Amino acid sequence: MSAHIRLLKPLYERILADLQRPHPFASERVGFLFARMGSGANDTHLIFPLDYVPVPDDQYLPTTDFKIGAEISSEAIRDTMQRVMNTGEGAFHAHLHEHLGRPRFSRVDMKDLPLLVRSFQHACPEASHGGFLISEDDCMAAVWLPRQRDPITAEKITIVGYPLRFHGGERYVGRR
Amino acid sequence: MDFPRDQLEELKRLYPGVQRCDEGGFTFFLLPNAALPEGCSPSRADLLLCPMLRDGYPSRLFIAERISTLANPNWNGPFRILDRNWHVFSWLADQNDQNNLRLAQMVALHMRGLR
Amino acid sequence: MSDDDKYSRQSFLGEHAETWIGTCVVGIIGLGGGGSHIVQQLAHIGFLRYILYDADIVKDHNLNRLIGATLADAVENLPKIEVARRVILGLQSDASVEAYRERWQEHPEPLRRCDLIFGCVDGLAERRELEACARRYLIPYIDIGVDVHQVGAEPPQMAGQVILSMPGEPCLMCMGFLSETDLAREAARYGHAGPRPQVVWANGVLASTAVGIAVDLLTGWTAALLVPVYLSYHSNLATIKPHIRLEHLESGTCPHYPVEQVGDPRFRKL
Repeated sequence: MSAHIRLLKPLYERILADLQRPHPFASERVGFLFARMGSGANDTHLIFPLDYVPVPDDQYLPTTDFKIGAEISSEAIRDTMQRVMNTGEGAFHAHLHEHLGRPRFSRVDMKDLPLLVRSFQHACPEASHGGFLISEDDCMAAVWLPRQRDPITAEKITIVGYPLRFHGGERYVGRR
Repeated sequence: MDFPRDQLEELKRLYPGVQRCDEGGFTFFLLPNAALPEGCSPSRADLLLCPMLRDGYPSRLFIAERISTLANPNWNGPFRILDRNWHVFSWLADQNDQNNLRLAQMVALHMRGLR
Repeated sequence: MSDDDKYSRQSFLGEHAETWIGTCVVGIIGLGGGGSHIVQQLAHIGFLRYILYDADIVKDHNLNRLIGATLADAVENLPKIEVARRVILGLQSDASVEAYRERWQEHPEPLRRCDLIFGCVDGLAERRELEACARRYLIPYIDIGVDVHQVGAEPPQMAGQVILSMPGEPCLMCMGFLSETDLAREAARYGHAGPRPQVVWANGVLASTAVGIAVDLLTGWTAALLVPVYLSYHSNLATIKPHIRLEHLESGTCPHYPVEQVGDPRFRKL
């Protein structure tokens, strides 16, 4: 089983621009991507993020734990679950690590993300859900395929635009 | 494209489970496992109605498989629509008959070609 | 990269060009006169992942234009997919080539994994179906085709097109290449495009242009690709230039393939 994500470049740029905005007190911003599903050959799950909704400023919670970049309210999670339930879309938690190169989920991310995804799976078990992590020039995603307990890393993330860009696990490295 | 509420209700009554989906600027109604005229084999099939001008036809009725029938229509396809393959037959329906038809009447008109 | 490196002469495409090209999964539908040119050029450039569809075999009348085909292939009735596979593996021995000797509609799932699709098919309805699939799965689609018309005693006029249909941007219908009138005319002939006049040089011009667009799309080397692309080829005049229809294109997103229709079809119960 594998997951390929495809999204349009204007959406990707919108996500990046939003996540780069400073927040009054949180050290990082968070939003949610909503995605449609498709099926490819050889058990490939195709995921198409089509919309991005930033978490509103007033749905962040102050925290003194320096290890946590942003804590969001239960209202933000409920709103996301409601949309998932209403539409059958997959939901992906999105945030930014401000550096160049392939980002990696932190320990905090990997502790909190499964709990979030479990909520989304209750709301719509037929969709894939997960986490979408961006750096300044790369991205990756942890995907919980429908009804799966454990995530996989998205094999390929394609930003559809000019130029076409590929991120994710299966990038070919040119011969030298 | 919007359709009159009463026509949609009528279609629902005649074809339980009817669903709608759009692609490429066209609206399609899926009539799942619809009963076909007597003498058809199989006797039931998924139908896809396009109630809009498409390829020169005021409406088209696509069928999930080629049907055996005494009418022996001229089959075309398969055509790929909404990620499935569909077949359609040509027959000399009077094009004037197709103006101002209700959705259910369109289906009935096309079914005549299988009798 | 040394001067002896296989791709040293295309280093101007950018430092990571080989990576983008090598990663791209490319689909080619139709391996006749146009598709065979495209396959050969992509293999030369360094594309490594192919998904090919063509149900046909090599016949004598293909040999005036089928790149890579030989007299022996026509005698053997070799499937066109095998000609394409041979061309690719002869230049890229570690390429992945998935080839289907059938219409793509009979086995559509592999096509959805493509990052880019070239359509080298006959007929407008075929193009509409292929574009609909590409739009549904957010895949850029490049279409090529050529035709010859003759009116009365006038010399034949040979013309064609190269079109890039980009998800989120105007489609073949928006650009006026597909129209209800033309599709109706084709349907009235029961969809038969008929044997089309085809010559190698016209196919070559269109295929080369299409490949150039694809490489720019992947590498961004010109930093100047304006979408949509709709190029009109006039062989008699030896010109290829933006189609005049682009000047009259309405701005805004494509109304035929809204973003809500992406992914597996979603039916709504009435």
